[in-house]
Amino acid sequence: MDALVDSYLEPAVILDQSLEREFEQRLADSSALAFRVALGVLRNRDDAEDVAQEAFLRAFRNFSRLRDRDRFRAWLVRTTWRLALDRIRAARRREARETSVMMEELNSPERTVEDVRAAREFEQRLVRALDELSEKLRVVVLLAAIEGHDTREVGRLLGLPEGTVKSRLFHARKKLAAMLR
Amino acid sequence: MSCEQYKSRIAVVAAAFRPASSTPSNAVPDLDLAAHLAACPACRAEFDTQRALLASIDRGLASMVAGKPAGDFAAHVRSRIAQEGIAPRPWFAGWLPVTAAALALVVLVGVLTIGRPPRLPQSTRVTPPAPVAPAEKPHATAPPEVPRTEAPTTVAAGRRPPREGQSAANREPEVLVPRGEMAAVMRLFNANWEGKADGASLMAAAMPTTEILKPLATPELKISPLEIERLDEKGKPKGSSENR
Repeated sequence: MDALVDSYLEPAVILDQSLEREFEQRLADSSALAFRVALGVLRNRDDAEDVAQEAFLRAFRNFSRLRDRDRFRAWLVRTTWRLALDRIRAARRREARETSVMMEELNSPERTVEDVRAAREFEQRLVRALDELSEKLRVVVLLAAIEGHDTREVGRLLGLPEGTVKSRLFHARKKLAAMLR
Repeated sequence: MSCEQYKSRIAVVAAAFRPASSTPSNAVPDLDLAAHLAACPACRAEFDTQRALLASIDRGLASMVAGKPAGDFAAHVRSRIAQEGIAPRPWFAGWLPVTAAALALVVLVGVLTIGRPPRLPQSTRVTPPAPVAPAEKPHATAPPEVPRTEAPTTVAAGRRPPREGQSAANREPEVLVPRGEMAAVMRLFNANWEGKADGASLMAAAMPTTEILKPLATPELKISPLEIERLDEKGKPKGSSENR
C-alpha cells in the first residue's frame, strides 16, 4: 500500500524539487534587479529589500507559470514596481527616507562642504523632477539607469519594442534636463 | 541661421546622447549643428552645459538604483516562504476566476435567451384558417361590428405553419381576427407584450368609469302565494272526478 502511495507521490515530489531548484536559480539571478527597481522608487534600502522580498514571495506562489526566465524577470519588475508604488502611497515615507546612496558616495574625504551641499540640492531637485514624470517615462528611465541595462533589455523587461523604449528614454531625459536647468 | 534657432536642436541632440560623458562633444550627428557649434562659442558653451547637466542626471539616476541587496536576502526570502507556508499554485489556478466568470456569463446569456418568450415580428403573416380546428368556431359573444361576410384572418404570430404530424399541443397558437381589425390587434398585442399596456388599463380606457361603477340593476322578484289543492281520501285532488 505504501509503495502504491509512494509511486503516486513521487512525480509530485520530483516536480516540487525541480520547481524549487529553478526558483533558487531565479532568486540568485534576479534579486539585485528586484532590489534596484524597488530602490529606484523608494530610495530606502530597508524598504527596498522588504518590497523585493515580497515580490519574490509572490513570484514563488505563481512560479508554475513563471518558469521561463525572461517571463519571470519581466513579471518580477512589474510586480516590484507596483508593490513599491503601493508602499510609497500607503506609508508616505518620503520625508523619513534615509540618506541616499548618492549622498553616501559624496561623503568621501575629497569632497568639500560646498560640493556636498550642491550635490544634496541637485539630488533633491532630481528626485522631485523624477516624480513629475509620468509613470511610463519614469520606469523606463530608472530601468535604463540600472547598470548593464541597454534599451533592448529594458524593452524585454517591460514588454515594449526597443524603439518605444528609446523614444521614452529620450523624452524622459529631455524633460528632466528642462526641469533641472 | 541664428543661434536662437539652434537652441532647441542643441537640447534634442544633447538629450539623445547617452551617456553624455562617454561621447566626444565634437561627434554631433547633426552636421549643420556641428558646424555651428564649431563656429559659435556661445552655442558651444550652451551645448556643453546641457550635456554636463544630462551627465549629472544620468549619474544621479544610476546612483539611485545602484547597490545590491544584503547578503542574507535569499535566506530571508526562503525563511518567509517557510514561515508563511507558501506553495506554488498550479498553473491553471490563475485561470479559475476567468473560467468561472466566462461560465457565469454563458449561463446568464442562455437563461436570458432561452427563458424569454419569443417576440412578435413587426410584419405578420396571414395564413388560411382552415387547418386550425378550434379557431374555426365562431364566438357566441362576437362583437356586432365583426363583418360576418368576410372570412376571419388567422394570425400565426410570425412562426412557421405547423408541420404535418405535429401534435396540437406543439402547434403555434393562432388567433382569429377580423380582417379589418388585424393591425389594431397586433398593436395591442405588441404593446401588451412589451409591457406598455395591460389588460386592466385598456379595459378601463375603453369603458367609461360611470359604466363600470354603476350598481348592478336586478329586477324585483315577485313571489306569488302557493295554491294548495285539497286531496280526497284516495289522494286525488278534490273535484277532479267531477271534472271528468
